[in-house]
Amino acid sequence: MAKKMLVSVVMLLCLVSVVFAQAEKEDAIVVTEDYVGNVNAEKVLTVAINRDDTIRSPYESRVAYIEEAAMKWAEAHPEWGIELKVLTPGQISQDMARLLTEAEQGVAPDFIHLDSFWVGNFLDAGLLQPIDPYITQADKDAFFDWTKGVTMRDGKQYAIWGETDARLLYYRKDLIDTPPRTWDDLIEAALMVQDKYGIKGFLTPAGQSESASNENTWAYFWAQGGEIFGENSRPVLGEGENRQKLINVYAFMKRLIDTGASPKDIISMTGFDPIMSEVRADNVGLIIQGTWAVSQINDIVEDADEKWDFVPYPQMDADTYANSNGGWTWAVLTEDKEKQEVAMSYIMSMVGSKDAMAARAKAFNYIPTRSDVFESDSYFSDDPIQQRFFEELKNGHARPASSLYPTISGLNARMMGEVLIGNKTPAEAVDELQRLALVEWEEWLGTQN
Amino acid sequence: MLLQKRATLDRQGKWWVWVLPLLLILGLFYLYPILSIFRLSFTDSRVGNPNFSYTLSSYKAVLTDVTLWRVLKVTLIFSLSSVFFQLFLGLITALLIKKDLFGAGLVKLSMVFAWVVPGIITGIMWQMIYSSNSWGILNYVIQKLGFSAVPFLSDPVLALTAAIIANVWRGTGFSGIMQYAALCAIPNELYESAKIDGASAWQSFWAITLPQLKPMLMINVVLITIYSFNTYDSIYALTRGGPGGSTTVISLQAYESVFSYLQLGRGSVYAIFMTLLSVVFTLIYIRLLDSEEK
Repeated sequence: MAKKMLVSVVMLLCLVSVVFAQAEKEDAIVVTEDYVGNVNAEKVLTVAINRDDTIRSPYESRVAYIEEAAMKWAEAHPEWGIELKVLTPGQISQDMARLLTEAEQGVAPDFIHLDSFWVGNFLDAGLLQPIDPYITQADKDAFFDWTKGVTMRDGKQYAIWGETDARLLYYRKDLIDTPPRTWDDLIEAALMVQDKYGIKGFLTPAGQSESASNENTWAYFWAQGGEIFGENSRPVLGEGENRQKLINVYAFMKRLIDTGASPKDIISMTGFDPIMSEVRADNVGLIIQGTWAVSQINDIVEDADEKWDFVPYPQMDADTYANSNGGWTWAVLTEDKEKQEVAMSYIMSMVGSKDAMAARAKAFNYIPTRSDVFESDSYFSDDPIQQRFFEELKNGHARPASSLYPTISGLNARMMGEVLIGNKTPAEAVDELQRLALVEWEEWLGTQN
Repeated sequence: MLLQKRATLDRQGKWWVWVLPLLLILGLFYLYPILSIFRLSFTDSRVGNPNFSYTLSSYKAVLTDVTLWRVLKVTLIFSLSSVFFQLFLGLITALLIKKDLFGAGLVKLSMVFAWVVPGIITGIMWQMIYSSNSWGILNYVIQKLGFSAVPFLSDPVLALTAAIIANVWRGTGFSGIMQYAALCAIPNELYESAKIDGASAWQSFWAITLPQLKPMLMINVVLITIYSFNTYDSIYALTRGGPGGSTTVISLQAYESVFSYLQLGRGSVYAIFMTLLSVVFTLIYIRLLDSEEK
């Protein structure tokens, strides 16, 4: 009796094991916070990735997109898995510097999510792998030309630019009849709203940060035809014809404060939060903000449609246009060809193909970097706001892909600060910037060979 | 059993068995990074670039940059002001708590709270207080009183003052708690004898409290000085070193050099200068203490 009992128990255990093994096999393909693909896969890739491109994202629509698209990719690649190393939100510089060091040591993940203005650092160090074999010419051509200055070097493509943004001038259309087109118009409109409505004129984040360059220098400088670097990354922004163009920008920023068109507070603003708080309080007439602010303003301002609108950046001359565009790219570090191919299949199916970019941009509220998405996907082609963004992107510019860029940008922010607090005249600041930039360049040049 | 084993090892001259783990930890996590920084300071190394050479160019670049002298000036103003006010306010607070007034327990809790709040949070919190925007707490009160808003974070002098106040707020709790502990250790008999001799409260303070507190004050001064020299997080969140570099202290400059400009060599030079500053000031304090004791 006891023997029969024992046999029965053993058989039952065997049955349970088989059932569990089968279940495990069926559940082997997963999309979790740290892993995508077959958990039993012997071939595993690693990726450093932003939180919002994983199911850790706090946004439901993003999680839904990742779950569906990543599962589809995983089912198509059952022999592969991807370990996700999530980047720390808000610590771009530290994370990018860490990845750069890891890549240099040969211990970085196989592919990475890379802030567009850090691509130059990785390219200069020779750490990115060309991805041309894994994308079609049609896909390459679809990206805006200005992205190629960053993602391509010597005719080879090294990254996929996944999403972007554009800087815009937002204004209170219920208070300002004609939106400003020039710097003079802007100052006039800002003073008018202050005098007539008792609110702040023009706000822009001109504090000591990347915003001083990205929001308050480059678009104005590029619209005049200015250039930051010459050959071999030699800084030329403060010499030749560029000198006067940069002086014009600094002088304009100083005029904003001297005339009272902007409060002195803009010198301490290093981000958009203080600006949006004034928008919410109905306490400002004109602001510089990104394309992402359209939905934010709709969320925080009552009757936003009747109050706020946007136009291109005001410029020195009415007939000139330029924008400064950011965003994130995806790049491959591994030298293993098989891994490169699989990594690119993930990047293209999640981000880079036309369909993926359209679907991701909708779910994430992002701006696509492929013109064909704007042209043929009805969500973008039929939406007047998206088409205005498309027009802006036609005047797009990317920050130069040089590892010297962060240094030059930092010097620019410092010199603009010196001008705004009255320590230097615009001409003195530009000359000092050029002098310091050349010192940096000479040292940088010595480390590049 | 363990003690017996230890005694046996000691007898066998194997004392190093006990010291080895500590030496390993100190060597790996303290000594190696310091030596590494020292080595990197003599290179032109950049983050992500394996090509570098041993050179004095990073020292030359830092020493010939006009920024250095402004950074040192800002660092000294920031640190010395922080030391003075944290010590002074800490002492007052400790004396008041010792009186066991109503709410003393709550004050002690608040002091610890201020000290444990991370620097980034301190910076953001004080930014909300100083802001000239419609949500700036201090300016709201100032404007309600009929004055115009004060550009606390946009004016170079006011911004540095604002950063010092935020740091004093953060560190006073620690200083106060340390001094409170030292105050509690002073024997009551000393005060009773002084009272019998007819000493006033002020005389008791000068003749008993202050001399008895001196060792703790000195430790406090050294710790506050080192903390202040190393502070960058609260300033980063408050002003990012602006406007125009007016609040850029040496630790923030080191951070910016490495993480923004990727200049590992120069960042290391700034780190070496930070260490030297801390060592020099600590030696000065110890010297002062020694000379007074003699």
